[in-house]
Amino acid sequence: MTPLIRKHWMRLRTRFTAVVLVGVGLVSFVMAGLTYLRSSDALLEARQEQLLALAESMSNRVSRQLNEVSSPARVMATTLEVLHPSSQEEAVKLLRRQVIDSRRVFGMAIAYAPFAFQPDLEYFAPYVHRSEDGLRSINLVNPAYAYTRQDWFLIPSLLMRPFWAEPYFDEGGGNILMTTYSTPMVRDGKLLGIATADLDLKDLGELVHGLLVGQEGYAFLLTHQGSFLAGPKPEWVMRETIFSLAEAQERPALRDLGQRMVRGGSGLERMKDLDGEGTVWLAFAPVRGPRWSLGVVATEDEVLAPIYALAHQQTMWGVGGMVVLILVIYGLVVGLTRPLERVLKASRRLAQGDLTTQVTDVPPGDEIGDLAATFNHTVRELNRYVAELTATTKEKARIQSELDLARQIQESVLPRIYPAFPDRQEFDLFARTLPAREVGGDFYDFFFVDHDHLVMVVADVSGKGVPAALFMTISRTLIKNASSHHPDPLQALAEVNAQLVPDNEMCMFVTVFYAVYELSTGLLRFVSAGHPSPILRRADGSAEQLPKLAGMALGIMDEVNLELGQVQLEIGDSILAFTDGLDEAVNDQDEMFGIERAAQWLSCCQPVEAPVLLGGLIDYWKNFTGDLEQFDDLTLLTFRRRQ
Amino acid sequence: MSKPRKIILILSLLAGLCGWSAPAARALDKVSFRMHWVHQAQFAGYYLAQDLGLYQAAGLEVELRPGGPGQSNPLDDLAQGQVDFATSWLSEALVRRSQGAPVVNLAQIIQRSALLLVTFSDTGIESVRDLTGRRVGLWRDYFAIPARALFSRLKIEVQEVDQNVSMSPFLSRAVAAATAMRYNEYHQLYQAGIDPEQLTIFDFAEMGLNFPEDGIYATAETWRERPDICRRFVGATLEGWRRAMADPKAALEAVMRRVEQANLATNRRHQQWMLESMGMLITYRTGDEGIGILNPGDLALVNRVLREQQFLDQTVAYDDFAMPAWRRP
Repeated sequence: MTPLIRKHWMRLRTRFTAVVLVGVGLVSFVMAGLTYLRSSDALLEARQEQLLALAESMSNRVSRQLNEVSSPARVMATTLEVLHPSSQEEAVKLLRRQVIDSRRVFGMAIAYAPFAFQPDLEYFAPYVHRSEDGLRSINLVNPAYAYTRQDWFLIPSLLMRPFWAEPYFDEGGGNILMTTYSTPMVRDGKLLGIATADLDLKDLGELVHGLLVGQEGYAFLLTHQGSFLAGPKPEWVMRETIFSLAEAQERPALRDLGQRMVRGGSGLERMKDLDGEGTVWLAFAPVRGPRWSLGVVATEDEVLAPIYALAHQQTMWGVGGMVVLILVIYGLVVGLTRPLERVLKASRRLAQGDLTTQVTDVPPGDEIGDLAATFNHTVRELNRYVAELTATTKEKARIQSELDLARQIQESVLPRIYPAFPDRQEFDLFARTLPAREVGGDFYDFFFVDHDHLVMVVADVSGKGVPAALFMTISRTLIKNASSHHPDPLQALAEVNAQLVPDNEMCMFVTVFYAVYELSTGLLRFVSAGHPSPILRRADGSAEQLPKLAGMALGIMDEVNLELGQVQLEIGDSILAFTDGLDEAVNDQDEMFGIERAAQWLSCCQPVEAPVLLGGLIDYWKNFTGDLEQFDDLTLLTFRRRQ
Repeated sequence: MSKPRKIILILSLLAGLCGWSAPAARALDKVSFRMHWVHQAQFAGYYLAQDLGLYQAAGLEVELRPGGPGQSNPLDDLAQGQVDFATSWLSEALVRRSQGAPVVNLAQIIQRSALLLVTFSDTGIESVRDLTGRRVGLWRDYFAIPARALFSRLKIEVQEVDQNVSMSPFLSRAVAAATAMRYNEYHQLYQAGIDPEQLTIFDFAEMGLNFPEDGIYATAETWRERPDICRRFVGATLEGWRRAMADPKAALEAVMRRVEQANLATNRRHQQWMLESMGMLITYRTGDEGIGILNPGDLALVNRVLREQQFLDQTVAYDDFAMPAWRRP
């Protein structure tokens, strides 16, 4: 028997937990995702504003520091516009004084326009700058240098407004990288000269680098021409411009950004870093005064750090929540499934044959409690049933043994000896019964009523089992009794019927083939009370059923209206009497064995001794029916005239 | 004839053919060469001739001397015997010669003038005539000759401003126009964020003033007494230029090595632009093989303009001035 419990792919407990978790998890995930998107947008915006504000505040600081450089130059210019130094020495002294007072200034110059200082002096340009040995004063007048051609002089004098020079290496002057603020001095509408103040780019670099942006960020400063005054790479100063980087890296977007920067714009960009490595955020703002631009760069990781932190935090909360949820759900499921498991275990014990098992510890009050109660009830019922069944089985076994006994008795009363009459060589006679149940309803009989007359009987009692067997015994006794004093078959069976009908409250009946054979003549007289006629096989091998005779089964009606049939048997002729167990037997294809099949078999069969013949026919019959259980008894009787 | 003898014969024939290239065994002749500006791609051919051993193969040990702002004039160095060879613009060389410096042209490297006048398109200046009365930045001396000739031809007067190396006066709009070399300042403007369409360009070569620029010069005496060395130097140099045009990557490396050693304020992309421009200027009209020739028509043009500008009293004859050191033997 296949087990009823199929293998399940997941325990109920796990499945329940998983389903609830997936549901709750999905909803939580979507909600968390939405929250995350919203907060990250807000955070990013705040972060961008912060970056932009940083750029602006830094540019203000740079602007203030530049002012500390440009302011002394303006003061000097204004002073000299109204106050003309009486001598070169006085001019230099004035200059030194101003440099000393101006902490942020590296050096200052007063460069006079030709013949502006003195009518007889074409060029005069004193320059005072800081050095390791304190202040140094030099005169910039030098044919190779030609200060009037220098940007710091030329441009403000042409534009007549202050100018911040591009970074340059002041060879022969301060010998440093610097940028110079220069402002024109005007008297009577004419250019008097240019007053300058230098800013050491190192100081500017320190200022810009001092305003570090996060850990990996940096700031840079571009001139109006896009040159780096301070930047992430010192070697870019004086060499690269933001446009040369854009050109070398083939980044038109960077060029466009550079143009917005040098034109005084401010804004925020997400882009590849200036050196082309990694993604960064750049905020930029103009530096008031020199029209420079200050950029603040933060790596994207750094900009997004608070968002990552938020994501991290949300994930931690989410994971924590899920863990708590798992515990709660698991607890719930355990509470639910533990009683179920108890029921299951009890069922297993029951399946293994423990009929005393009962489910305990399952509190009543819910469906599982009901289930346990039902289970217990079922087990009790089962116990009762088994007890009854045991008793019944015992009874049945007793009956069975009695039936076996009855069968033995029944068989013992039928003539089973072959040859039945060893001293009579005139005929060959044998009969067999195969009961379908333990005790059959078929029977046969043959006996001599006198020296010359042999009676043969084949009968089939309605019903099966013990009642049929009892009825058969009665019928057999009555037939034997009647035949002893009625030589006529009609009278014999009429008497048997008359004796059966009155006391037959069970309404049982018996069909009977009754034949009387006269040895001296070979004449066979017979009647069939509701019984099939026998098959006659002639000595030449032809075989056919004898015509059907009128007559009803015995035990039903008072009148049986039997018809007497007779046939002359020659030497070698034989008859086969049978019950309907032969012809009505079916095989597994619902075909009946039929009388024709039996007749054919007989005609083909060589005359042999009766037991062999019957054995062969039974084998043939069994071969036809196969394993299919037959519900009718089978009784065969064969008689052959020898002399 | 046995095999070894055959090879020796061929080798000796080859040696005879390669007259200007010296046998390796000979001691190297030491020569010095003065460039008229700082190390940059404008001189890439000389660098490759040096780095690839072309000078050495020609039996020369060449000292390359860069110039720069505030440095002496190369032709002065030449006249004073401080160097054997020097580069100079054709116009300058002709003027110097008329002033008594006995210089001769050994090869003309740049065939096409790279000189430009640039203005911002938004100033409304659409033709050179529009520069009338405006401030125009001009380099000093000979560099200003074509511009002055142009203005004089057009009969306009401009306000000349003494232009330094920097483009800041132009970029800060202190001048309305400025001179620029196509291979240098023009690209500097681009690297200062100025897009080409923001500029209006006046190209002297296209305005009938194609003054050939860089050429190799020596004194007439050097040419007379040591023509072989002159030929070897010029031959190796031209080969250096051919190599530079064939392998711009190697040329750029040679340039950048010197630029970085000299700690010059420039960048690789700019030098690359300059190198690419030089190729165009050097092979203009001549193709790859004919480089080095001084076009007699160009000389005639420069002669005429210099006389118009009263830099020259009389025309310099081609044969007196242009020596065929560039020509392959």
